[in-house]
Formats: sequence, structure tokens, C-alpha cells
Amino acid sequence: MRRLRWVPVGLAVVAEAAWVAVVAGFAQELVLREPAIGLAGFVAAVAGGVVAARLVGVRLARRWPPLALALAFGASIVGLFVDPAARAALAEGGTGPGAAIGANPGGLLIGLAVIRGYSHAGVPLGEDRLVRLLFGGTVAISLLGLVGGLIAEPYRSRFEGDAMTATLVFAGCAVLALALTRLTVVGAGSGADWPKNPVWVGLLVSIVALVLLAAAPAVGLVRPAVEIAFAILLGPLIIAGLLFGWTRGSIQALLVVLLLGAAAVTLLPLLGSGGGSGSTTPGSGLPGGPSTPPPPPDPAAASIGVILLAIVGAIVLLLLIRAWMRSATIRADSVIETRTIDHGDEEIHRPRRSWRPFRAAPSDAAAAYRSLLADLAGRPIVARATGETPREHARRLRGDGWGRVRLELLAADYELERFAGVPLTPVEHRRAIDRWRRLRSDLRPVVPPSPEELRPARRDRGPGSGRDAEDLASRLRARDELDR
Amino acid sequence: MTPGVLAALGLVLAGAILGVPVAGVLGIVALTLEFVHWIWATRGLDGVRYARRLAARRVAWGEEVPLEIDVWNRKRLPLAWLRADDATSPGLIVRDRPAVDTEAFGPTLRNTWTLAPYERVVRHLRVTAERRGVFTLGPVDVSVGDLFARPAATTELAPIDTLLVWPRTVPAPPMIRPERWGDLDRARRGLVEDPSRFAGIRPYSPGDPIRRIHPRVSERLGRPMTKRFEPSRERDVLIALDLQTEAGRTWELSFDDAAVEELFVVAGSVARSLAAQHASFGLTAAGYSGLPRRFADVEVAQAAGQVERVLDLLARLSPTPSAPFETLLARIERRVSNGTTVLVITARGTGPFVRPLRRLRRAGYGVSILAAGPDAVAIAAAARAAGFTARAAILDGPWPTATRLALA
Repeated sequence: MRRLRWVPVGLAVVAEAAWVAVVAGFAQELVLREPAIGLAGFVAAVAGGVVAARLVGVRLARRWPPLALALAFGASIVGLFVDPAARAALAEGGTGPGAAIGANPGGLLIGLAVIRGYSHAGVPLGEDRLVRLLFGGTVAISLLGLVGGLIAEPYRSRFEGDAMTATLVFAGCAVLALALTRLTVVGAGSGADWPKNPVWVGLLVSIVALVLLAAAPAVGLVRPAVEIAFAILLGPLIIAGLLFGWTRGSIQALLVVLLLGAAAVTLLPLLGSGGGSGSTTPGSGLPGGPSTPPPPPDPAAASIGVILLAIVGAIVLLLLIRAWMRSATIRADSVIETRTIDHGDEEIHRPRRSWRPFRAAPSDAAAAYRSLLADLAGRPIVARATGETPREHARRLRGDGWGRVRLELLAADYELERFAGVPLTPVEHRRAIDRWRRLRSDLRPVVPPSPEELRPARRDRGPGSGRDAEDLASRLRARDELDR
Repeated sequence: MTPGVLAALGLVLAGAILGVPVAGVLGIVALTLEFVHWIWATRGLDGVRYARRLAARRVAWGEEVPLEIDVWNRKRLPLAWLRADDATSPGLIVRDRPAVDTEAFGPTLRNTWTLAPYERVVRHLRVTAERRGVFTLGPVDVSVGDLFARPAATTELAPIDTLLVWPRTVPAPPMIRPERWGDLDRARRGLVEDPSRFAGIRPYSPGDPIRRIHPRVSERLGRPMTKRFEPSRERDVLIALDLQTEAGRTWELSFDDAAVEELFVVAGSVARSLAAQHASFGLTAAGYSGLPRRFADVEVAQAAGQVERVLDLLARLSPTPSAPFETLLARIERRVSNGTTVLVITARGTGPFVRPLRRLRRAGYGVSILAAGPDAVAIAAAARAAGFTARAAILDGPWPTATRLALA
């Protein structure tokens, strides 16, 4: 049970790695190079960050942030030189580390992955951190996907393919991690945690998996669907407006359709040609860019800017690492509770009209009685009323002339087995099933009964008590319902 | 349409129109989240049953009452979580479950469950209270989470459970003279009679005490006649509880909390002691008890359950007086037969109400004063100096931990 609490952490680690991998892929695409580090590498880096923060960070306390920064820096260096091209560029000399960075800029993001790992060292995870991860990751991936579509082929296709895989992984893991963590946080101290509800976990995982499986193909259908919807909706909207007058709602709907149409008409041609020609070659720059390269920046000013940025970034990171180490704690739970799966009685399961012509016969007395009740449920006179015990029901029917003694015997069998806990013999079960078989046909009023025929057994009874009048009224109502 | 749905739709459309498949995928995922949320928001509370069962409605201070909370998810949708926020009265303590402060209810008992389809969970807790009084549990705010554990739907259920916490009682010495006609001795008279209340004569019966024979009437009538007396009311005790603990005006709401609670402990213990002696007793106090009346009374009686009635009233009484104690004493004459012993329990000097007490005594009531609080001995001495029977009721510690009541 204690090991299961690491599941959300694992999911968060993969989600972090996924969006960092998209960023790294985009960086590689910008310099028109293939990614050197895959998703697995980033997962390892984030996991390394988690482990380092958990093992070392907790012990070092205040001394941890500088060391964490140094570790992240070291990881960036390692990530940078994982690519042989970066090592070769450094060996060639020239512009120094700049050439290596230019060869493998995505490798530097290993450091970012390690830093992101620091934030998930606490168990349980912080819900707000995961919300930020989901929201921020969604925005980042969407923007990078948008900008990444402008790069030349074949890097664009490679980027889009990798980004799609990483996006699916990111969405699935982030959503699952957030849901599991939310439940852990909400149920903190009350004994409500996700391992106690495997049905919910199963449904959650199934739905997320289904959505992710369906999402990628569905994306391709959205664009034609929008175009078709626009084409279909515009005309009828205008005609409906002309016929029935313009309301605020119809005007809004028309405006929305027009706006979407305008966006589609203006943007689609632009984006459709951008990068789609495939005529550019690696290293030739962006298509449609300026013909003259921009003037090179002043090296001294650039260096100062980079140093300032690095200092500010380091301070921010130190503060973040320190804040992340304040992990949430949850009190141990000491609740005594009893959990059962209770399908309840017939008030839960509303009698449903079976569409199957042949049903399997009940296997024992209790099932026979319940099956009979299900049969009687749709019949106004013989149905068991709410709050009526089996015995009362059987006696009422018999008293009214609709019951048979076998119904009382069946009810008695049911009460013995279910309420008294007395086991019935196989012979008794068989008899009960026989009774069910007969009763379900006996207790079937074919013709709507008239008030005079309602009580054949008591027809000779004189004007009765208030109860009789009440019964008669209810029977009359029942007959009216049947007539309707 | 919620902002989440709009954002998801925007993402899907942007992904489709701008040709960014990853944005479309993320939009579809977000749209699914919203759709699932909508299902749970509309169906999440269907078939949810919440029940609360207190094992007892009355409990003595310091005891714990088992509390069962039963939740049942009677449908096919699982619930990531179901949270029940029960409003609790200040001072009500649920063991192992500290109250949380919520905006809606203030102190709240919060319980959370995760429920599979048709799952029923009965949670066993124990409830007690910081002090005597009437404590309520409820109404309850029930909320459920959707498949992704986001808050989906909420409702408020009205049922309120009430727990009456009696004041603490400790063993106390006998307050009245033991009855003389019990045990296995043969009864010499049918009732305990008060020789100061002459009621007439009757013919002599064998076994009548010689000193009960009325000599002059016997001589006049020529046959022995026996004097008859009214039944004694010595064993009828009315506890008059003085809720004012500090000198000054009655309507000044300042009070000494510990002294008030000690008064209640003494009153409860005295009531138990009287019940143990099979005495008829009742209670009167000038305090609020949840009814639109200034005075609270339990009539003098010896019936079964009398001590419970007195303790109920003690539990309900406000810690501040609703009227001057003198007013309360003045109405005793109109409500209780003379001959009854009025046992005044007070934690302040008897000066302000000496006059009504004397009037009661003149009217034939027995008056006895039981002083409580830190100055009990001095108060009792002053009352004795004023001519009343008075004793100091001294607990052997602070009221929450005292084990015995002694009379001095």
C-alpha cells in the first residue's frame, strides 16, 4: 500500500519529461537537427531530480538549493555532450561552447528536467503544482506546436511526430497524476485514498486511455467538420433569422459562425503554404524569411545580457527549489469503518421491462421470489406495495382473492432464507421454483377488472369498513390506469 | 457554457484551423474532462444516501457516545470522493477527528470517502463534549467529486441530531434524613407524618403510640382517640439554583465560567444523591433553557426518571441568569406546597435574597443553603449567621477532575 503512493509521482515524472521533451525537440528543430535525447532520457533526468531531492535535499535542508543548482548545471552539461556532434564541435574549437550548444541545444534541457524533478520530491504531490503542470504544459506544447509548424521539412514532420507522442504521454500522465493526487489530498485524514477504490481507478484509466487513443485520429476530422458545419450553419441561420426575426441569441450565433469562417478563410491558406512546399533544405533557413541576414549582435553586450539572465535565473531557481522542498504532509489515518458492496433491495433496482423473450429460471427460492416480484411489478393490483413485507403482500393478495396459498409459501421460503438465515433444502428450493412458475401465470389479470369483480372471494361481503372503501378507490384508480 | 468548455473548444478549433495537431489533442482531452465533469455534476448525487446515527441522545459529561456515519452510493457511477461536512456545535468533540473551520458552518466535522458503485461504508466515531449543554450535529453539506476528482456537485441535507450532555456528577453525602419506614421493620404508621401539622383525630387502633392519644378529646368522648397529622413534607426537596455567580446586576452578563460549571456539578450531584435516597425532588432556576420562558422548572416528584429530567434541565440551562434570584424565590410560594424543603445552591453571598428566604420560612417551607465555589465556607458561615441552615459543598478538585462532593 505504501508503495502505491509513488504511482502519482511516477506519472508526474513522465508528464514533466514529456513536455520538456517537446521543448527540447523544438530547440533541436530550430537548429535543424535531429533530437539527440529521447523521452526516456528526460524521464530519467526528472526521476534523477526527484531522487536527488528526496535523498540529499531533505538531509541538507538549507544547503540544498545551491547544490541542486549545481547538479542541474552538471546535468545540462552531460545532456549537452551526450550528442557526438556536440563533442565534435567542442573538439574543433572555434567558438567554444557556443558551437557545442548550437549542435545540441536540446541537451541543455536535461538540466531543466532535473530541476522539474525537484518539485515532485514530496509525497503526496502538491495538487497546485500538478494543476500548473497541466495548464502550463498545455500552453507550452500548443505554442511550440504552432511555431514548430513553421520550420522546414523534414524536421517539421519529425518534430510533429515526436511532439504528438509526447503530448499524448503528457496528457495521459498529467491527468492521471492530478486525479490520483486530488483524491489523496481530499481524503487526507479520512481514509479515502485511491487504492481503496479500484473500480474508480479502472474507470479513470480506461477513459483516459480511450480518449488518448481516439484523440489523435479525431484531430484530423475536426477541421473538415468545422468547414462543413460552417457551410451548413451559415445559410440556415440567416434564413431562420429572416423568418423568425433576429434575437440576441441568433445574432450571437451568426457572429460566432462568421468569425470562425473569417478565421478559417484568412488563416488556412497562409498556414497551408507555410512550410508545406518542402523545397527548403537543411541549413537553408526558414522559408519566406528576410533575404538579408540581420546584423550580428554585439558580443560584449550579448555576454553581459546572458550573464545577467543567468544570475536572475539562478536566483529564481534557488527560491523555487527551496519552496519545493516544503512538501505536504498528511496525518496518519485512524478511522474505523466497514465497507461493503450493497446492491440494496428492490427500491434501488427499478423493475425494468426485459426485452428478452426467454429468461433463465431462478436457481433458488429467494431468486424465485424476487423474480416473481419483478414480474408483478408492472401489474397494478398484484404488485407489492412499497413498505409491504412479503407476508403482508401475500396475505393481502389472498384476502383480495388474487393470491394463492403458494404465494404465501413462497414468501415464507424467502423470509426464512433471507431474514431468518435458515438454509432451505434442495427439495424446498425446487418447490419454490415450481411455485414461481405457476404464480407468474396465475397472477396475471388479463382483463382489466371491474369493481364488482375485484374481490371474488369477498363478493358477498357487505358495505365494509373504511379500509374497504379505500381499497376500492385504489382498485378503481388502477382500472382507470389500465383503461388509459 | 463554462470557461473550461470554452477554452477546450477554443483549443480544438485553434488546433484544427491553425493546423496544430497537438493543440487539437490537448483540446479534445480538455473537452473530455469537461464532459465527464458534466456527467458527474448532474448524476453524482443520484442515489447517494447519507445517514448519521448517535447511539444515545443523552450522555453524562466525560462519557463518549458512539456515532455511526453511513454513506451509500446506490448507483453504477463510482465516486472518486464524497465529502460530508457536518456542522457541529462549538464544544462538541469528535475523537480522532479534529473539527475544521468552514465558511458555511464554522466548526465542522469533515468526512471523506471514496466509493465504488453500490458501495456502502459505515464509519464508526466517538463523540463527547467539552462541557454540559445541548449540542447539535448537522445540517450536513454533501459534495461529490467527478471521475477526475474535481468537485462536481453539492447539496445540503437538513437532518440535525441533538446530543444532551448532562453536567458532571460526583458522589455526594445524603442531603436529607433517611426515611424511617423502610427496611424490614414493621411499619407503625402508614405515612411519615409531620407532628407540627395537626390534621384531626380518629379512634384509637391497637399499636398506636400512647403519646399520640389525645387525652382531652378521649375523656370527652369516653373512648380513646388518636391524633392525626398531615403527611410530612420533609422529604420533598426543591433545588433552587442561583445562576448568578458575581455580585451586581442580574442583566450584566459577566459570569465566572468555572464557578457556574461547579454549581451545575453540585446541583447534579445533589439531585443524584436525593434520587438515591428515594426523595421527592425538583429543580427551579432563573435561566434560559431553550424555551421562551424566563424560568425553568422540574416539578417536585419521586417518579422514575426524575433525576434524568433534572439533569436534562441542568444540561439545557444557560450559564447566565434570566431574572433575579429573588424573583425566582418569590414565585416558589405560588408553585410549591408549603412544608417542602427549599435547597438553595449558590456561589455568592446570601445578602441579596435573605428577605425572600425568611418569607419562605415563615410560610412553612424548610430552607437550607448549600454554598459552592471558592468562597463556599464563608458564604455558608454568613448564611448560618443570618439564621439559616447552611453547609458548604466542596469538591475535591476543579470540576472537570473532581471525584467527590463533601459537605462542611
